[in-house]
Amino acid sequence: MSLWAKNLAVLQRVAPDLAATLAATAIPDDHQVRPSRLGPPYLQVGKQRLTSSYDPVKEGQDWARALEGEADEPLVVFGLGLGYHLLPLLAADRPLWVVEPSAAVARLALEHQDLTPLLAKNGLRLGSDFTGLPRNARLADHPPTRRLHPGPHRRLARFLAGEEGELGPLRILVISPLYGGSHPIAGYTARGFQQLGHEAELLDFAPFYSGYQALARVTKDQRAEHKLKQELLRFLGETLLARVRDFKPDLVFALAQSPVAPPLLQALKSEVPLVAYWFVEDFQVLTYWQDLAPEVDVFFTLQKEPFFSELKRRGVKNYACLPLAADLETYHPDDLSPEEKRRFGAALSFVGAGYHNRRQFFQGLTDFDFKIWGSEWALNSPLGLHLQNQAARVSAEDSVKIFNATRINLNLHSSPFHAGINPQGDYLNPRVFDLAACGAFQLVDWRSQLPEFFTPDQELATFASLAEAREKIAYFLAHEDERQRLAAAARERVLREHTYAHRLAAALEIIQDLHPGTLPCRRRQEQAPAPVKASFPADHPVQALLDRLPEDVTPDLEGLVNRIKESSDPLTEPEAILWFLHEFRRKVHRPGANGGC
Amino acid sequence: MNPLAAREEARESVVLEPLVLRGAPSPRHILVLQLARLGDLVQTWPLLVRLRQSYPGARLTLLTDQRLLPLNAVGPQMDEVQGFDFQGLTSLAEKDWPRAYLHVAGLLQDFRARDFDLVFNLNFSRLSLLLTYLLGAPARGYLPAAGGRDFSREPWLAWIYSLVHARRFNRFHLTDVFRHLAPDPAMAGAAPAPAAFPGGEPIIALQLATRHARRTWPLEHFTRLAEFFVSRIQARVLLLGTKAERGLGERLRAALSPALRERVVNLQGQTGLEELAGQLRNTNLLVSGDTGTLHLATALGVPCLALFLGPALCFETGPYGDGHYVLQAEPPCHPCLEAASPCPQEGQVCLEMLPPLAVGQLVAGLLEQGAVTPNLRLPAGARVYRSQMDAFGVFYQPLGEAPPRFADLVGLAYRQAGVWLAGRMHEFEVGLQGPVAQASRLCALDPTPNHPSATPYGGEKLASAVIEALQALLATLRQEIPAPLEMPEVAAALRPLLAFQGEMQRQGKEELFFGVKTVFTAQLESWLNKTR
Repeated sequence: MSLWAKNLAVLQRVAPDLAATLAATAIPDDHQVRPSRLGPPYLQVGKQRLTSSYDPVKEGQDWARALEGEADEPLVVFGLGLGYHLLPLLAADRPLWVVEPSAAVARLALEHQDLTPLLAKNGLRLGSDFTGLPRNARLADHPPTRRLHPGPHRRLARFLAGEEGELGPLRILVISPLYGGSHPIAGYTARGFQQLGHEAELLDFAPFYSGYQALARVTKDQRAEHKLKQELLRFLGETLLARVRDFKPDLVFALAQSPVAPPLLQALKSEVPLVAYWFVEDFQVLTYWQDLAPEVDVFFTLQKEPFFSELKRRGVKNYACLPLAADLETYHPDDLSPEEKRRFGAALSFVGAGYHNRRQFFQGLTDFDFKIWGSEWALNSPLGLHLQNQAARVSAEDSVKIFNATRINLNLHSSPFHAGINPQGDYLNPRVFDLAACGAFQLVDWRSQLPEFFTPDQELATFASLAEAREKIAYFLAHEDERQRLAAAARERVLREHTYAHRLAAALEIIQDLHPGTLPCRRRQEQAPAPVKASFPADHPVQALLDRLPEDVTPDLEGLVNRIKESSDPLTEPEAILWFLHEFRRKVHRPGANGGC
Repeated sequence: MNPLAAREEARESVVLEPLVLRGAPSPRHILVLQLARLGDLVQTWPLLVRLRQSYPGARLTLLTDQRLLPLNAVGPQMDEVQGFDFQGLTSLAEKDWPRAYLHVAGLLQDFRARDFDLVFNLNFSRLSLLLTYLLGAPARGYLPAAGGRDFSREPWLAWIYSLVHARRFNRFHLTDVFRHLAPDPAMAGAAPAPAAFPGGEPIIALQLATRHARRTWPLEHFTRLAEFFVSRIQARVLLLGTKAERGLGERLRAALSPALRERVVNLQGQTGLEELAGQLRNTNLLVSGDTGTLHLATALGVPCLALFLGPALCFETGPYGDGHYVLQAEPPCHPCLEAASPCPQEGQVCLEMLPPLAVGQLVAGLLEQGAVTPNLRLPAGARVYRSQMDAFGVFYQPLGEAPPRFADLVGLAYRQAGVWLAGRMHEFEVGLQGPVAQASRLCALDPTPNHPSATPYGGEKLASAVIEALQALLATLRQEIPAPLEMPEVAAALRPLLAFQGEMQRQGKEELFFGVKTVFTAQLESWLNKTR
């Protein structure tokens, strides 16, 4: 029995979710395990060695020996490495927990070290899962891991010190585009932030889209039309700034295609502490990221390499991968009427726009009961008979019905360049998550990032060629129970790991790691301090002001000052002090430059 | 009536009814509120110097942002400087406002115990307004009105504010706006003159960023300028700025060849305020936009070359003192509104009006010959100014071929009117005593210009369009007729005067408007007569 199988067997018994995650984890190319000079394997991640390449066993023993303290003192170690440094502690049966930020490293450790004593006691935690860790335990660092993951280390240290100081509630302004695929994502993003307890607002530019389109009908002169459109975009920028000045967000979170040009971003930066941008596009297809990425505080991508190298080459430092996710309020299992099942159902369905590669590939599937929904398809084409509803756009509500009514939902990532499947395809499109969230069975083209999110053949089915797609369609049409098992597992996975709330929590962690201390830690409402009246002596003049507040007004600074502003009597001293304090709340405490002259 | 309102009423009658104050005793304990940024604080220093000279017996206290306290060491001597902890109060007001309330009430008690009898409120902000109101002492500058709910500008500030209606006619520097809130002690020394440009290996400092993109000279230009300095005049170059701006300096350095890069040191984010002052003192020249660093450098007597564009106007916030230089971009849309929004023009034109090569040549001439290179080529619409001081304050003399424009003449006439008003105000506000009396009386006797004139336009030939516009303006003024429709610049030129008239009517001080109008008209007439 291999070390991996032995470790996994224990883990499956104690922590089945963690076991499933590690079993599905793929090892990136830059994670290398090689024999050390003295024999036992050592691990290198990128340029960082996680263990000695000469004698990792002795290095681990030295590290453990250098730990002082009582033998029964609970210890939390940050960093699993290949586990050498833990062996002496496990042998001495110390109360021990280990937090490893990287799933890939954890998997490699379990492949190369017998860690069953640790796993049997449920002592391994992955990522930012700190559940069950004893507060005030001593924290010991595995130094190379700390160098690789300073942010998670900082969070763990704060957690153990009992000061995790949960962020927020933050004021977040999410900027939507005028139209397009990233528009709904903006709405989901705002909702995700709200679900995390933040005060998030969507600045929705969709109402301006019809005006934008109308400009195309104004003139035949393309230059004039371009100028008009630029003017409109500039105006939208002004709108954005006006909203920002009013809402005073801690963070502006702009979606791809939103009307923010570099000059506006520069202006925005002087108004807002942090500006983040989520580029939910393929960087090789759309290249406008080149101008935007250097202008924002954090640039989120769907893709990793070689996009990261491109960003680095252009001097962009603050970037991170933030994959898409599912919005559970929009995408969910649905009970359909027989009529709906008939109308929206089929053996095989596809919902999406008619990109070049889909037009080609789907011609090989026309012998199935196949419905194609969505726009930008040619009605007069070999696929014409399969197109539904005159190739009109499909609403999100209808998509949910189609997903639920279809036996096999086909998902083929778009490409303007390929005839069928993009063999270099990396990131996952929204449909992967939407289908999974609906509890719908999906057959999706192979993407290199896929195993990070879903376990192929356990949660969804994949294909890498037309032949494989046809074979699996035939198989799964014949095996309804398997379809249902996979679809249910995929939905479970989404609920566990892939909602927008999960994703945006990760985004905020990344932002904090890149810009420590910039996001304010505010007290949440429910942790409100002692009642206001008790904070002042009984005969204090503020008491009288509090007593005079109408019942429906909260007895706080906000309520008091709004009341004071309504009057026109000369301010009393307590009134003037309260108004004075309120100015700090509004963050307008810096008198304008030039004394306002 | 509550006691505070009573105090307020008393102050209204003290400050806004000047006659009551005639012969009032000199203040004994003065508080100056300057809660804005670095540049504003430094531009307040000449006021502080002047207060010391005008009221030698009074105790002077300054309240300023705590983060600026290190500047005490280089600023004018005060009896007391108190820091205001914005960050602390912000976080306390957020976390536990009742405790913040008690804290502020304590601070206030402490302030009242010091018995200030004159408060200068220099910030147009609700915060300092409420503080001024709560202190209840007679005040200058931005005054509380309507029971602390509103602002009132004393006439001098109302005059400056009127010019906001047409900024291109404004010739009042912020420093002088502050400085003339205090009576004129008839003593020189408003600003240190910059040191001469010394020989040897020059050290040139560059401040790369400003607070707004619209008034920031592009980084690529700064890069070319640094290249020029190192390769052509063998200078050492220091990059100044905050930690947040450090990326700019690094990008600049990365764009230089290794040999040049060696001579360019990035100090961004590595200097506290005191070290910044120290570094500035060691430099031969600072090149900067409209920034706190620029104002600090001029206050320290470091020669400056200011690059002003977008909303930045040297007449308002240029380098203060004698002998500094300004390159000012003056496209037709200049000066634009101080808004952080991007420029509506396609490609902000003024960004390209100050070419790095010309800036480099200008500096080379200054360092090597102590003068501006005679054949300096600038794009149309850009001007070089040299700062000069007269008895009233700073003004900016254009160099090279710069025929007087309509806006220049109107601006200077407004300046002359302001000179009269400033003198008149102190007669109103402080009474005629001691050294104050002489200067004030001079101004107050009759509404004609009396300070040595700042005008460089003694008798140069004026363009005929300028003469026509001046004639139309004068006709409008004399006959009180509407400005001619076909000359929008005439209507624009009248806007500040009309705004001031409205405000003085509201304050019941129309005689000040008539005085100002008389000086303004007389000045324009005298120039027109000279051209005949």
